[in-house]
Amino acid sequence: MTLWRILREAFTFSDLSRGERIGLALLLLAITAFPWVVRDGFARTVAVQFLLYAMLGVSWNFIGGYGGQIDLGGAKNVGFGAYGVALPMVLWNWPFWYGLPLGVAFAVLESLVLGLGLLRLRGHYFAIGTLAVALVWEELFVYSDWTRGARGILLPFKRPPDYAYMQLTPVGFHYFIAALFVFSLLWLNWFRRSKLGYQLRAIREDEDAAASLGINVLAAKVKAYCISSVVAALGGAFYAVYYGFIDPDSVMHLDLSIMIAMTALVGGAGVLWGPIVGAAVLIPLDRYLGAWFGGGGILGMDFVIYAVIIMLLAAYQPKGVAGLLDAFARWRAQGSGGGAARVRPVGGR
Amino acid sequence: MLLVAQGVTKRFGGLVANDRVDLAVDHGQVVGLIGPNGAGKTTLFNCLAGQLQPDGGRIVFNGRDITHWPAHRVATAGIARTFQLVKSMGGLTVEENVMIGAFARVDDPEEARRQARRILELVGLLDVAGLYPGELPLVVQKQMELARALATGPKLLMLDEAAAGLSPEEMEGFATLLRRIHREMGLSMLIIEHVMEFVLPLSERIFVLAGGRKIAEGTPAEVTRDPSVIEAYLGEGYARGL
Amino acid sequence: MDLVLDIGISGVLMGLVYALLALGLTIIFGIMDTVNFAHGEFLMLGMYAGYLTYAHVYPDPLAGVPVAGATGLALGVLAYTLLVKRLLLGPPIAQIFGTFGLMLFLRYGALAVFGPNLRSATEGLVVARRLVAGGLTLDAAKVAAAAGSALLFALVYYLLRRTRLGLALQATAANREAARYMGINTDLMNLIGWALGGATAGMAGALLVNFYYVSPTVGMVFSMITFTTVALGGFGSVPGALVAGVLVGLIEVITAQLISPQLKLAVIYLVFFLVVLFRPRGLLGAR
Repeated sequence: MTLWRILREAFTFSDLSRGERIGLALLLLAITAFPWVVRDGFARTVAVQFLLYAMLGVSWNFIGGYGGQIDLGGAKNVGFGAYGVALPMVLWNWPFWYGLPLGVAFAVLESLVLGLGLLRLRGHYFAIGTLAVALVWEELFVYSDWTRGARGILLPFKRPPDYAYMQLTPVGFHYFIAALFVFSLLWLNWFRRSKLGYQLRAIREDEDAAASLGINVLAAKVKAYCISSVVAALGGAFYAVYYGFIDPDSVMHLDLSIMIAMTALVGGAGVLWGPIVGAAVLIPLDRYLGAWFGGGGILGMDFVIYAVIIMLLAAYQPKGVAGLLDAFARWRAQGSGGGAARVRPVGGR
Repeated sequence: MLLVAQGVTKRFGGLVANDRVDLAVDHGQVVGLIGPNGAGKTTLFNCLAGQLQPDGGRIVFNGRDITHWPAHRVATAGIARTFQLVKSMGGLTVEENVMIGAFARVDDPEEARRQARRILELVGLLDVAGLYPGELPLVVQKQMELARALATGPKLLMLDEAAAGLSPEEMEGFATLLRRIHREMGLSMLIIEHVMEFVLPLSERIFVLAGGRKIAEGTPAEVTRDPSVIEAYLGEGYARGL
Repeated sequence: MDLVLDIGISGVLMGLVYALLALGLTIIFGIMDTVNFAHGEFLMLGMYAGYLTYAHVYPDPLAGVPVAGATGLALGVLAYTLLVKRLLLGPPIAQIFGTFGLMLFLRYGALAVFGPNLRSATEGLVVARRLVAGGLTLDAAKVAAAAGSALLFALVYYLLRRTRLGLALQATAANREAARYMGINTDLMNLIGWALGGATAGMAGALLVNFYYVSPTVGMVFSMITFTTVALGGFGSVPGALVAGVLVGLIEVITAQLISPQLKLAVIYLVFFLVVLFRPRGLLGAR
């Protein structure tokens, strides 16, 4: 695949419905115009959070959505990216751009090595395995002095805009995360149209059938898992410079893994824009619950609500919002006189 | 000889599902594998296809020893298979299903799509290319699975109880399709089957398994007259009566 | 030598509790091929049921055991009827994140209702008592927990092997379709499986209150240990649960002693990986 070919595939959205393409175009417009239209500091932080979580949801989609392998440990990659940037910066004054490849490389290596073992597991065994791995990493980071343990790392202050250390103005950060998000979305778009994407979907449908058709199931899964790690690590790197402080509780915790998986599942796993919708639902919900329950409110209530959402989704609409739209379109098609078989599912191919 | 299996043995705990079974398929030949329920046909099939690892024996395909190869390697070597219970990938359209098969040979999605459509046309399924298998009748799903297997460009096509669940007319249609494919593509075939009316007319050679062992081998006519075969299927009484 | 004996006994005692936990999970798995991510939370809520009985009804954690059993049973029944029953109709992915959601619900629900503070029992028949037997000094609470677990394990084993209900459960686990043809109400069997799983986990929790701290977040750790135990013993195997439980208990104390208490969990997870990768059917399993 030549670079030109890859880029062309990444920018091809023609197999999506008109509504979807319009939606994506509007989103792009909104992202670009946002900092000029909205000046409120709080709103800007919410926008950044939305884009970050949408990006992390996209990372989950490679292995969890299109691959159908439920990864409950996504936070570890975010942590690797964050610590990859933060540690060298604090220890040796490394700029952001030196630490970034370090964190990403570590994430990919770890995913490769562990993936070769983990991804042989099917279904719930894999899910439990990812959980176990993530928990172990979190423990290690909490107890290790090298990573500053539970105390966390405070990134050194540099006057914005500093492009070596990526300490930017609010507008600068907005465009930074927007660029990262768009990059990851384009990657996912290339992926779903590529041979690897088709192979993963075949694996998701039926591993045995996929193998009988010549697909090296383990190799394909590992590739998707590694891509997922790269994107999540990039998100982690951004997190470090944006929030300026990281610790295992914020970047490696189970809660984050859950949010990442939820973002993709709520919107629609295996659908290109699923994580976007998922983030759009969850971030305001998170803020709302935080305002309602936070500051003296009941600890843990927000996750209780998330848990209920997850259970309802699992029981009634595992395909999330995308599934709801599908069901709606089918109901509409039946109303207008049959032809239900011709209804294309949402999200293209 | 395209495929030679010698002394294939497979045990499950104490049960010997395949006991030193020999089988051979020549280039361009259609071979049937029959036997009563529990004879070990599917086990042998899965050993050949790489889904199971035999405990003993050798399997040589196209001059290469594929005895312990995993399923995906066997597939890329040129053996395609269908499944007893149709494994139509329900989340993919018919066309996409066949594309997965085409990806065994090509890397470019557009090329895969072209090849898939060509095969669908050959099999007669082009007009349902955009539909989902779940919405289609069983016989069409089986045709799709066949098309998908063909898209991998195999030298040997293995069919696991292709006639199961089909009406007599559907079976006739499927047999005609297989004959056409055999003729036009020169494909070798190994067919496991229960339904005699389906497999006997199609095959040039038949192997019979019973109780994990090969008990007979020959042309369809020879095999149906073989007393040990009759005994295996219908019991001693019938065999003696002839 | 004394140390070895000490460790050995300690491991076996805790191991019996793990065996009981594994029993509940393996029954659920055997009957309906579902992994219950919320098993540890049933234990956790059993702990709270036991603790609250201790705090408000009768100042001995042992009194809480039957209450915890009832609580666990109710939880299992509710979980099945309201959620799992529906999940079984969907794709496997839905079963995973469905019971995962249940886990979150119970965990954070407990956090919201009870608060994050640790609690522990300070008085009771076996709390903080020593038992001297045959020249050895043992922690009475652990012995009681182990004895209780062993007793419950035996009771469930008897139920499975010697009663008609148990036979029906085993039949459903062996071959669902066939069991249905025999007139067994497999839906009811599912329900009973969850009821048993919940009850045993709850009672295990209450037994732990005698020496373990009570907190809303303990569930996850016990879930993971139970998964490892079930995987090691063989998914669906009852004798496997016993053997593996004791083994895991021993592994835990040996690791704490020889390597580091911090790495107990890491080693247990490692065992999980090794088993699932190299011997998926476990020691005594059939799958």
